[in-house]
Amino acid sequence: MGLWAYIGRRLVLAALVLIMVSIGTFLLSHAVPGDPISAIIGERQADNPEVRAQFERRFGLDKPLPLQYAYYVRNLLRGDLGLSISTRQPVVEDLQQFVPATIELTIAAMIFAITVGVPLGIIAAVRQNRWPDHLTRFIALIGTSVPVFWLGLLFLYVFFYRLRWLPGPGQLDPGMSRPDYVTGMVTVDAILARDWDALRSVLRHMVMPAVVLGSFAMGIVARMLRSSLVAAMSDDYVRTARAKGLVERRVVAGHALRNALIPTVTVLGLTFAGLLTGAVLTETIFSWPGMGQYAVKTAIKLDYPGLLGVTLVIAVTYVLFNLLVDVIYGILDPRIRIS
Amino acid sequence: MTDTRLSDLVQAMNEGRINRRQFIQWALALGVSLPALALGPGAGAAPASPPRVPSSRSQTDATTLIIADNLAGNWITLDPARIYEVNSQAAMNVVYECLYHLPDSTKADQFEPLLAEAMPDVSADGKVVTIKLRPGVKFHNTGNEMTSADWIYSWNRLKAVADNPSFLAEYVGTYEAVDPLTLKLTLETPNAALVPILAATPLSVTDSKAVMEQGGADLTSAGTPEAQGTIDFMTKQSAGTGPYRVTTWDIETEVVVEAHADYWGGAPKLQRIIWRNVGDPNTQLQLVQTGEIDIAYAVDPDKVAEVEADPNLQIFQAPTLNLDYLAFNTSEAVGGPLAKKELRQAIAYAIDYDGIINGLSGGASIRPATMIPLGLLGTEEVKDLAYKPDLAKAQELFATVGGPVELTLTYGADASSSNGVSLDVLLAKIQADLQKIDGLTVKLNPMDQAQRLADFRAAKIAFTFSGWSADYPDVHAYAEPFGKTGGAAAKRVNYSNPQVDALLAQGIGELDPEKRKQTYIDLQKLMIDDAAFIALEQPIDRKPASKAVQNVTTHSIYMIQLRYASKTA
Amino acid sequence: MASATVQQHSVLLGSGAVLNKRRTPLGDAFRTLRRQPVAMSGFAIICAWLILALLAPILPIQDPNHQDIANRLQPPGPGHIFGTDDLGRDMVSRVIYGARISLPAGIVVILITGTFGCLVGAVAGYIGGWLDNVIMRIADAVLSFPSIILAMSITAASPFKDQRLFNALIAVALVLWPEYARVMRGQVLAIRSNEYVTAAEAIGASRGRVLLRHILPSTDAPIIVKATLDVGAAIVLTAGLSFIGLGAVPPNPEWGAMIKAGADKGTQYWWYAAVPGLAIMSVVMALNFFGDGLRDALDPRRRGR
Repeated sequence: MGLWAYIGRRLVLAALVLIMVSIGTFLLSHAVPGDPISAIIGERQADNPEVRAQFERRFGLDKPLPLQYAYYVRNLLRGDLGLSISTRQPVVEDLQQFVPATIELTIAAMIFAITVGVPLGIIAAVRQNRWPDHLTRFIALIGTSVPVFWLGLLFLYVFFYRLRWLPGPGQLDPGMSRPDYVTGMVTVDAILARDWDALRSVLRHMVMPAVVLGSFAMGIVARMLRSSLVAAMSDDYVRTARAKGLVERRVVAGHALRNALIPTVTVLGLTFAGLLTGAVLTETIFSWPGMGQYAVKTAIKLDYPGLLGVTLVIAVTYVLFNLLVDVIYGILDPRIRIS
Repeated sequence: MTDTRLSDLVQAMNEGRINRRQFIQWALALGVSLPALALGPGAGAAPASPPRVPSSRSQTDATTLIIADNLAGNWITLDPARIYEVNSQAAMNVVYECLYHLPDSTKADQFEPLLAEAMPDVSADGKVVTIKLRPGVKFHNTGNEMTSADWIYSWNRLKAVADNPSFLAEYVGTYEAVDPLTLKLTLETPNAALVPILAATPLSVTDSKAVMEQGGADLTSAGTPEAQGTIDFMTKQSAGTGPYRVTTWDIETEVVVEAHADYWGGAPKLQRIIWRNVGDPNTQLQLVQTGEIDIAYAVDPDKVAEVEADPNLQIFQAPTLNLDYLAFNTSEAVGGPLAKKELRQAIAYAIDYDGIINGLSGGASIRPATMIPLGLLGTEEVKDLAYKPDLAKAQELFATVGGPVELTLTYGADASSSNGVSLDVLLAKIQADLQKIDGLTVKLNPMDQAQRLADFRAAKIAFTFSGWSADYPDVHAYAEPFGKTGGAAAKRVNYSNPQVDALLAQGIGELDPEKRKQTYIDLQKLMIDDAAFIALEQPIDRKPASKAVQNVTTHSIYMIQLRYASKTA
Repeated sequence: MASATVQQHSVLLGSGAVLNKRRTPLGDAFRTLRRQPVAMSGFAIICAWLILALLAPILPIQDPNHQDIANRLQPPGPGHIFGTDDLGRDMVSRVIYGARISLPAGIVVILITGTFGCLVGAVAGYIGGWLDNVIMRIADAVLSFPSIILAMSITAASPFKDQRLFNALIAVALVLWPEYARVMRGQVLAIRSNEYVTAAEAIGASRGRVLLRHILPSTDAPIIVKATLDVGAAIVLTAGLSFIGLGAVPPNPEWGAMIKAGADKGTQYWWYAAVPGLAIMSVVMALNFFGDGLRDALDPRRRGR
């Protein structure tokens, strides 16, 4: 089977997964025995059959289930995710508002993971089995062991409540308006609007949630880089480089590191999708107005158009990443294409 | 939980089965495609949010009042035909206006004319009500003059959109415009609570011309769907007569209202009021303490002492008209042993009310005897009849039920009492109190709040904790739902007492205040003995604020009375 | 439940001892492991928690549900070493009793989900074809759900309304199985092409027999490492569900629920969230220490480095 045929087949499979995800979420959210209507209309109005019927019509809840799904898919293909029950806005509009905040937080978390994880990994590999290595592995291990929600609380207590070094929950200082919506990412929009106060504020607010969210990825990066660097340094070409008399620093920086970084970068790419999920708890603790908070809000209010929207965004991201990895596998190892 | 294929991949690469350039390409592709991927469908579309005013620093000066609340969680809209949320009433009260209003909720019977010129003129049989409108009132969005036609349109619209508050339109009977400044209401039966009802914010007036320009529908029949244009317009702007108008509506960040200089009552003292979206009450308090905001909506009872000790802060406080209560299903089929009045009374005698009010709620509550809050007609008179903790009596009553009893106490998960006490904590306290009765076991069952409400409404829950807030501040707004057979709350516990029904029918038609009061006193005595509901606490609302804030009070309906607010520098 | 835990460990060690004689990789690993102080300290911490959990009822501590409103929210000090919560309950006792919930929960969930995932993965890898495709696509679909959101929906949709902790555990199990299926499938695919498997098939052994006798025994090492690490992950995920209000029912002293309650109270009452948080952290770190050591010990390439 040729590479393109293999990729084509993977694409079809990815599409199948997405369809299964959409059916799965749709069924799951409809299996919830709760009453989404009463979740949004007051105690009093849910008793009024006329009002109930009106709401059911508005949100399409009066149709049989397969028909509701058919409508959902048809609208989905038109880029219409329906009307959110909890915010009463189109879900697409909600996502445009919440997703950018999550993306910028996730990118910031990634930056943290790289800028801290990579040096740690290098130090650990170079000073293998000595105290810097043990210390680094210990830090990396803490990063992957501490529950995000607890680390978040700890940071808030130390850096906000006690030391007052960093601002508390939220995205901007209170009393500060968001810059004009261009990309939805406040950092970028602040730069575009040349609103340096807002930029400073959003960056300061971002430090804690980014570190908390990125700590897990940081641990992974450090450990992954250490092990691949250790492996690379015992490879033949590195030995050759050493034999040629190159100084150890140039051996590490010039040869081993370049090779060891590649798997680490790939790992990072895959962790990114996982971070989008990890954002749920982080955003809840730091009142970060992103997709995670929206997910919790829609789940609490049994708002399935909204919940479905969030799930689809995350699922699409994840499936596409999987697809990429599968394709890479296919290129690497032609045997896989056949099975 | 890393992807296990990663390690395979790394191994593959370490073993040299890779082309490095290919990998760098893939890695780059990953990084670049991310933002696009995560945006998902519709990402290409132009941002649909409204054009924003250029970013401006809102100054914490004497003309700007900044308030923090969990907007994203508690606010939905300020459209009078759709509003049913509690916290946003503070903004509603300064943006839209009713015929009557209640300036101070601690004087719950002192309603005053607002857009009406005087109190209503009621015919001898109590069925025809004539109301004169205040002349020269202008809408803040267009400057159009308010007339009776606007009222007719607004009430029609409230009915037609069939949303949460639409039922309020039923109370005003049939209405017509006699002349541009006179309304005539024809009721089927006399209604002693008409003025409080007319003060409910959904019955306020909207600029009919402005709404119709947005594609407002012909509103002759209920259930007329409204044009999306109208819904958007009414969500993101305002079209009322109030002293402030909405200029920014973004509940994820802030809601801003600006002063209406041409206001009929004279220009307001503040230039603008800003509500900030701050979800966590502890953060709200910290922001007040650092002077970044002026008023916080909520405060943990255990933090009140801290606020009181702060020389820069004050606390606005007043009793609410909200109630936290326990409800027992009185039917054998659902309630089981709870169908026996003695068991319900035993439970009422076992609860340590003082521990709840002074321990958990930090004293921020009072306790009425029945499901009618203190401050309303005829409640002070029965206050002392409330159940008091008496374990011996509880045990004695429990003995008449016979045999051990196991109950499941259902409540909304992840919710708090009206005082901000976590229900997990409050209910664990009640569980421990009830289990002091020998032979009684209580299991806690936290349930999704929406689902609990649905089940409770369908009268499927035997024993539950719930809360209630007023639709309008009148004794009848509580006595009817809780007392009347088939009433909104009574039917959830299958409660029915014909004597109470008879008294209720008398009470609503009785226009003489003294006779009316006696009716409600008699009725409450019956309800105390029936013990279908136990009122646990009526919270005192407490809002920490900067001392610079003046002429503000908490309010049982509007949350915060901001109509007269001002600030010192 | 706690006794099942101990049993599980003795099985683990026991099989190690048996394998020792045959000089299998697992046996070597355990001998290597004994020389690793970090891994052994992890093992010791886990054992200490298990013993505390087991002995909780006979330890000289308060009833975890004993309320004392007059002494609510007391900071750590004499009488209450870790302070009290907002009903005046003793934090020491609640954290220790919490171990009786979290530890067995994490272990049982991983036993169930691991067994299920491995079986499914092994079948998929060995039989292959359309069955493999279907199973792995389902696994992909489950993996592409945000785990916590999937768990939220499952908890909400579960028919066992008054068994919230049980629901949360089911949710965690449903979220984690595909990873085991993937690891197992990969291993089975690799082993299947080995000569001894082909030989067994050639002499007419049934598929089931080949899978059970020849393939599965060679796959244990990575799965055991993963399971050890995942017990921690399961504890954290369960606590996370409790943290957003979908886990244990009050007044049960579940760690995640305690952290949530403490967080609601605010940073002023820091010990309320800090104490159960430290408990979770110590357990998960201990498991990671142990699991990491186990992985290094099992990996012939890393041993001795």
